[in-house]
Amino acid sequence: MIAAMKKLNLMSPRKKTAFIIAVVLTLVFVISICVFAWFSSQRKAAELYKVEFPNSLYLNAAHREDRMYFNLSAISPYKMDPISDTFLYDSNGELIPVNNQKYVFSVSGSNTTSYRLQLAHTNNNQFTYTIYPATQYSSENTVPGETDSDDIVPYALNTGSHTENSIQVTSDPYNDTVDEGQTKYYVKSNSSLPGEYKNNKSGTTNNLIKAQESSYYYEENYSSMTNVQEDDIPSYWQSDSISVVSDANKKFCHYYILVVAWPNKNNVTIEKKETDMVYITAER
Amino acid sequence: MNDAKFNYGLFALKNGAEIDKSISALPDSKTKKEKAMPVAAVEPDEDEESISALPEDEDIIDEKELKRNRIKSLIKLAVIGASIIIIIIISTIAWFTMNREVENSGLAMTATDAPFEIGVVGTTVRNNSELNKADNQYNNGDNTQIAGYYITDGLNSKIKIRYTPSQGDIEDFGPGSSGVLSFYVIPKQDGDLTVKIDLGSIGYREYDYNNTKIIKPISELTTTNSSFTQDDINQFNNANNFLQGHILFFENPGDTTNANESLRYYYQNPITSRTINKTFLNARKDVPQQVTIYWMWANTLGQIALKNNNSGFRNGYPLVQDVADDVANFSSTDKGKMVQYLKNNKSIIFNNASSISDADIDDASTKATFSKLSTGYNEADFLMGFGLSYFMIEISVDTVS
Repeated sequence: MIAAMKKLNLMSPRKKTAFIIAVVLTLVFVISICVFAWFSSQRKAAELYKVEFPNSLYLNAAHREDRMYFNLSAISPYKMDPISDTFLYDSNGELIPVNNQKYVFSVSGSNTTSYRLQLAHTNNNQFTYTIYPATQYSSENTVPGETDSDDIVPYALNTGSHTENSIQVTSDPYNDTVDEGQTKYYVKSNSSLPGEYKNNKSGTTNNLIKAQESSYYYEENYSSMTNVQEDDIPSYWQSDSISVVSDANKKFCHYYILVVAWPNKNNVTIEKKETDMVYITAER
Repeated sequence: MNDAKFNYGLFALKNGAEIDKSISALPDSKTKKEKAMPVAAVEPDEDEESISALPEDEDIIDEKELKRNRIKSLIKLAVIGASIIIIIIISTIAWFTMNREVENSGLAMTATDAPFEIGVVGTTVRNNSELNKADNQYNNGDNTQIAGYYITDGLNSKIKIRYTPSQGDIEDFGPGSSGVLSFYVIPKQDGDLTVKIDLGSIGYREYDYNNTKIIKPISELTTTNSSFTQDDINQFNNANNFLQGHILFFENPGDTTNANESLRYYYQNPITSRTINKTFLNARKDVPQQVTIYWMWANTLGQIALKNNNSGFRNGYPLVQDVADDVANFSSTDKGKMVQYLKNNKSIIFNNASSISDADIDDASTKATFSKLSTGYNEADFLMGFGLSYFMIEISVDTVS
């Protein structure tokens, strides 16, 4: 090879040019035949598949804000302003007794055709827990005139509150900067979300299963223990399947109001203060 | 190609010129003679004068001897070179002569070159109108040659795979989806035939541009042929990379009906290289030979990475058969091949690939590690769902040289 290169160097430039061009053309010809043959022997078959948009389901506070804004800790027997978190007074300057408190939450997601809500709660307090579908309004003026004022829950939007869920829904976008200081109004529907208690007798709120009744869930929760308070059994409620109509981007957002209610017992003084635990889950 | 060739020629000429210049600048006249002699010997012309002008002495006799030897070796070299080129050309043409019409014309050569065609059966092309937009070179094929088959030919070498729909078919494919690709290799002559099958997956994005719905390969998207930003396109390309890692191919079905549910698995013989050879012995001309390839987009990492479900982390059946923790020759088992595949392709499987080591993959049954691996796999799935509108599985069939 080296000898050949030396000989090449010794040729006149004209001959060298001719020689190199001849070699290059020959090589190109030979290679192109091989390559062309390779391509033309190939056969292909293909199938095209549509990709499913990722499915997701989020449970958040109102307007899809982070869960920390869904705060059940302050249940008050007197009417409070949900925006300023202060007590309200009637015309006589008296606190206004109420028998329920309402909390807004949202279920949102993408590419979901249906889901169920589940509610689990302990029964230490004499509370009932009911979930109602809700409708969101951007101002008080747009709330339908015939709406009972007790069914309207104002909610003050928070800044930087979409760290958990950044889903944008076409008809209900959020903008943390623009929304700052604004209030949304949520109106509870008249009928509660269809569903039933799974472990209460006859599936209703009132007919609670008791811990000491071994024919129910007693054994599963407490085995052979006998010193168990009779109400110490959580109740499990599950909604019927909830259908979803998504926007063009296959996203949706539903609003709900959890009503924590206690019966009007004007002549009863409840001295014991208990804590209840409430879990809400959404599942596909 | 022409440009490259032309440049190459220029480069060679320039080098030659420089060498000439350096030689002529040397003071030694002998060197000058060496430069002139071979040229004069090959073709006497104006350089001959320089030879005749040389002094007659012993050195010159030696140099003539040397010159003869060089000419001889040059001739030998030329003969060998020519022989090699002739052999290459003949062997290449010999390849063509396997086809019945090679002598007709260049066009006929391309039309009838391959020793086989491929065919498909079925009533329906999945997403047909979208496939036309995605790649209009794919066509239905010729269904007049062999009853019931749509087949390729030299002018239509790309064919749409068909299937026969049944109730409950899904329209959208995502994590957990799987499919069976069935096609036929149709030999053009009797005898043994070996083909090489390459499996590819291509991500497409659907979008509106100038009031037209476009479906384009993600690899071809730019900010000028779409209204996407470069950030969008980068994200789509990221999704396309994960597509390459997440679509897995297999040669054979597994056992999904075992009475013992814990022994069920989906497939056997993973095609982790995405290439297989298939040999059809004593194949007959125009008798289709079926090839079936199975693919799956695994729903969860546990179905791929865990040797077994002793940890209880897995959701769903494993892709390939489970093995014991201390199984011998792990690397030669299907499971071992899948684990090796994960190690070799971390960047196209895990969104957090930079923080995942081979040791992590070996340690998948530890909770914290499993969580890390699973998160990376699921994030990648999520990005695929957001970034890809369609994906194509493309099967290329070639002769084996």
